[in-house]
Amino acid sequence: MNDDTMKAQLLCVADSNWVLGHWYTVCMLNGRELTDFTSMAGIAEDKLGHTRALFRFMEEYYELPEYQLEFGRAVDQVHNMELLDAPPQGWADFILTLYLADVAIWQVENAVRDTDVAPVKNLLTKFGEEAYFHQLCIDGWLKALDDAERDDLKAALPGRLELALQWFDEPELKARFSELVFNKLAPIIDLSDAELAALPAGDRTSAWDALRRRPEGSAMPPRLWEAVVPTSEDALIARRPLAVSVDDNIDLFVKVRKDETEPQF
Amino acid sequence: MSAPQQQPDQPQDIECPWCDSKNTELLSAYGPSVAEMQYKCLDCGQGFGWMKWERRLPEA
Repeated sequence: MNDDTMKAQLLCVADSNWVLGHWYTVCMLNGRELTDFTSMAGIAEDKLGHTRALFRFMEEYYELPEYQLEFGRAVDQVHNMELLDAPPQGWADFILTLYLADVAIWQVENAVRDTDVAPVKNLLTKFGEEAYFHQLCIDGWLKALDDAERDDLKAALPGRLELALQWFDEPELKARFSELVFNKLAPIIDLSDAELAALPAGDRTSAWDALRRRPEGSAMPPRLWEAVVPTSEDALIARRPLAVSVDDNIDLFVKVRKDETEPQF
Repeated sequence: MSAPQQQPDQPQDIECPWCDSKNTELLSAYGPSVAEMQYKCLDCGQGFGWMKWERRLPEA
């Protein structure tokens, strides 16, 4: 795996964990009991911690300016998975999406662990140990669904699953992801063979941005972006000052800076 | 207050990350996050957090 490929892969998992962490922070008070709140708060802390650990590593390894990845990118430069773009439509859809995102992110993290870059291997292994715990929590929420919620989950599955499957570039990871998801969910929502066969295959139907693993030109919706990097006047006034500028307009993959593409006179 | 209970999945010999001693005791079943337990090393006296289900990874 060359450095640019690894950079794109790391951004895909870092940015997806970034958005996933905010799914937890925004929705955690919708829990029903103390363990919901403490688990969601703990998972949010971990996911955002994974993101920031990767950002700090990438800043050093790729010699990027500090804080640019977190505060200096436009929304269309973020590599978050499309699965997390649409807000949850209910408790069951929320839990389903947390599950699919967590399992999908781990499949890619686990594949990227097969690298000679020791800090990446060690970081991703640590993330996996924490994701093991996160998935135990999600297992508990899946088991605790009532009949109506299981129906809701079954209804939400095709749409969410399609986006989750589209995220995978690697056929073997995609196949393994499907297997894990079906083994987990089929007994919970009583999926018949016919229903399993009718689930989407995750074929990509629009032009694809391979680096960001999402449709070309697409980006998370403004309401979600505002939750991830608050830019409202009220939020900005309270932002802890950064020691560096975040207006350097970095371009992560094209070696020409945007301001140098302007006509020179 | 009673001592924290041994958890079903918890190994018996938790090593101190500072001095590698296994002479450690459980202080709390929860740490800064619910995924962590708080331990104290009875040899070097340092406290440390131990990740529950340490070294286990999700299915892949």
